[in-house]
Amino acid sequence: MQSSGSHLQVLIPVSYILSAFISPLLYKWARKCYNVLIPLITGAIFIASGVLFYKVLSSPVGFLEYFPGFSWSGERFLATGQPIGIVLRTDIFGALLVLLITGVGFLVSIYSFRYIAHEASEERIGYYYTLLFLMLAGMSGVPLTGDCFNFYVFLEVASISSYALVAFPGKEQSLEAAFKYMLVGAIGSILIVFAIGLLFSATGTLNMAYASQQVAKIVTSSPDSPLYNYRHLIFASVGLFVIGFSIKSAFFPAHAWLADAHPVAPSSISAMLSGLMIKATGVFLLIRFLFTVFGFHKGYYGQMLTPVFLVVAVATVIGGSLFAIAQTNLKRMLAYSTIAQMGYILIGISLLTKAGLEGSILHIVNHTITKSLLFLSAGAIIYKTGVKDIKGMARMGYRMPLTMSCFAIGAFSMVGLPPLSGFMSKWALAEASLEANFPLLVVVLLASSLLNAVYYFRVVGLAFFSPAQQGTGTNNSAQAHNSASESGSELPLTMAIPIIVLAAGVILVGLQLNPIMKVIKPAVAVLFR
Amino acid sequence: MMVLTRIDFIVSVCLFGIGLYAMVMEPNLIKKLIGLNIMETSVYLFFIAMGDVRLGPSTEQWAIAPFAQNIDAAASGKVAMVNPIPSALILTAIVVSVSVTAVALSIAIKLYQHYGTLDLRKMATLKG
Repeated sequence: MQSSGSHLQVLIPVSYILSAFISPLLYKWARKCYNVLIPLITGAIFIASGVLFYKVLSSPVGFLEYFPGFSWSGERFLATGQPIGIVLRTDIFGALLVLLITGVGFLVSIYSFRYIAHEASEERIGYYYTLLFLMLAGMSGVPLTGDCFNFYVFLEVASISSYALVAFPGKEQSLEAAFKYMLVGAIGSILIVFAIGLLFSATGTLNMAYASQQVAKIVTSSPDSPLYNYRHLIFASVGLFVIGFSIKSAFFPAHAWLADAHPVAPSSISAMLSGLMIKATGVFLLIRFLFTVFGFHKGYYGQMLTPVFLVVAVATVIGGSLFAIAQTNLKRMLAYSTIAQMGYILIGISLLTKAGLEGSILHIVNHTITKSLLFLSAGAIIYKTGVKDIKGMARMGYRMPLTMSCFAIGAFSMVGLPPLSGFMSKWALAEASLEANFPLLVVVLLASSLLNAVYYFRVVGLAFFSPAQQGTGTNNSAQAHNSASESGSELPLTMAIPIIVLAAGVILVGLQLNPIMKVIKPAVAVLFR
Repeated sequence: MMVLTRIDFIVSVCLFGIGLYAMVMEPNLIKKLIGLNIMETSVYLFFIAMGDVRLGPSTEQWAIAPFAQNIDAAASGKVAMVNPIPSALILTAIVVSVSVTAVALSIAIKLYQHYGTLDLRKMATLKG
């Protein structure tokens, strides 16, 4: 096995960590060009991850393996064939996620300058970027690594900085939400470490690829072989991993923390948390462990996980949508919508088929772009008008036409209107569930699309089609004309550009589905190997 | 059950339960954090106990990594050493949990400054 690693696998998280520590210094010494330096750093990392993505795609085996450090004897394997040391192993799915993380991170880092100055005092911007970069370092490290304990460290780096970021505005609400988020997140993390311990005690390795070989040996062993005794360790480990990652990705019984933490965070951070955090630390790792490490698609375990997962997924989808309808706060509604969308992703995973997983990954891509767009637009509305309630959205489409148009694009994609990306992934999931003989799931998907339509169309309808509060039609058109002429100064450019780019992304993903499926299909093939 | 033959694993699971109980049931923020730390300690205990590799032919071998060492040498009873990896992992995990505790305590201090109490029931501004 030759090492085909790329130094970028190490450089992406490391450069985030380095820039985290120089960010307060830059803010102190180079405040004039701070607004240029930060996007330069994040942009460079985004380009680097693009190069890494291309390298992973063009590698014949579908992944890159990088061995950092060295061993004294110069060997990477023990006599038993066990790899020594930490390995960074990035497959196509991981590289795709890193591309999304660095891309949205780039846009959010541009967006944050004006927004954070509005939400917290301007003096603290340097520290805000420290936390943001640490979170990005953790999140981008998780998909890059191939080591069970290394991913845990990255996960904790991301989690701890996200606890601090939720508390960043320093208001009562945000502190309380951060504390609750921290408690639940810590329980999830502890369960994950426990599961790592069980996996390690059964397989004797932390290397994911090697562990998966040992897991296959153990679960397929005959009752008279000595390995048979280790099977209960594997089962306990699967259970703890599944519960831990379910807490991290806010599936139904453990969803409450998300609805508290995501809305009260600064909107830029809500976009990061909702768009990326729950995927990098939750669903991505769930997929990585279920398929790459434990090999659920190979049928070792029968179908025991599918019914449990399907019940949880349907409860998450329907429950999240129903709760979202009841909300009066716009960002809280978006948070409940995130919970519902995580249910969709779980539906695709629980089918344990290739088609289902393709639908899930497509939905991860869509939801990342769309939900970041929605939260950034909600943040722009708060920045400009201070409106947080859905009721206050009346005629917002005339006061902030650009933002609301982008919001509407995101909302339509979430509901699943045909040319947009949301429709494509829902279609893929529906096809996959028909293929796997679960026709009832299509009903669930349809029902929840209708529920989505109820709460998203309410906002869009209020913003564009609510009657004018006072005055006649002429007054109305004069108002519209007035705000249209002002639309240039609707938002600061640094806030408008990320929103427009993300809205364009939503449309592009919907229109250019084939190139994306050409990436996702081999990614799933590598996971199913 | 083989699990019951190892007292360290039983203690570890008990500690986990105590910590979880304290974290979920106690309304006081500091007590919740103490519960969190007890839970983390239980995981450390589990890891450290797992690293104990007394590979004799007669030793009960539950949760001893079968692939971690040369199996031939183990069968002949020549290898009797502690597995170093769990200890190294726990050093890292302790650092992680210290940082979690530090962040949590600083948030708790801020909450105390705002509300004048550490009772979570008295500071519910978030609606369900």
